[in-house]
Amino acid sequence: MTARGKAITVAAAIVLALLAGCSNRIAPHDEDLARGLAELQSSNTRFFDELRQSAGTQFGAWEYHANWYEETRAAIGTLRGQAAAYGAGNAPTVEALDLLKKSIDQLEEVHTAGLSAGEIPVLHTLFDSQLRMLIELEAAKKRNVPKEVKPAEVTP
Amino acid sequence: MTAPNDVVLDIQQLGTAMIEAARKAIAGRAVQKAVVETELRRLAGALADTSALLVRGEIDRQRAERMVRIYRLTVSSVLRSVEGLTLLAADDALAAAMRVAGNSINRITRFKLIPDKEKP
Repeated sequence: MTARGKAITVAAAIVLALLAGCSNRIAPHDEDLARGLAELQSSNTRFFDELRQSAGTQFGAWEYHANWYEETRAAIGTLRGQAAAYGAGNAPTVEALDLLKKSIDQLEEVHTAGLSAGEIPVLHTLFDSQLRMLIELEAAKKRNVPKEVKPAEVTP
Repeated sequence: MTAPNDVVLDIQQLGTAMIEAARKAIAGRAVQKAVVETELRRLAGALADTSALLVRGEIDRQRAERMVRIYRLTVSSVLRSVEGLTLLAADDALAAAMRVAGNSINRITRFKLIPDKEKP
């Protein structure tokens, strides 16, 4: 091998070694987080089904569903804490959960003024999409599970 | 560092092998690409439905703006998840390329400069 060839080899090796350090920028799969997201999606589906059935009646009013908003915010907060325990590797999940919570806040504001039958399926699609993608992301992490990474303790 | 004379690194061949390995790794994420496309189509439909509600007079302009605000938050959230999926695909591609490169580079450096990575 010529001197130039050796230099290229060394340079390539250094670049590859540096790239290796950049690998695994995403947190590992967390079964509890996946389960929590699935439960949140079920709760979301039940909520919109109830709204659809009670549209136009007093049972569709915000007052009858105020607890759901509180419980949902609390559930998102727990999941966020769990995701954040992995640090920067879970930034996409944490940010998506933050945006989901903001969406819930906006939904509640809209709901206090009353929801029409036509709005309910549209809103259901929006929240279902957010949760489906979060679930998809968590499921995709199953392929990248570095055994040495463990989450920090989460204080409720 | 002195490379043994009998070890010759074909950079072009190595590059091709790395690209091929990365390509195969990304191809394994094709299902996720389909999921993302489906989700973005659903969201486009939701926006069209909101416009239809406004046109039909079922909601007023102010209400439509509130709906669009939730829509924007939704798209941002979905795109964060897509970002995570993209990073996973990039990690897979990098890990696959590194495995191929490690075989050749480690032989020349005579130590594990590129460590073995877990198979995703």
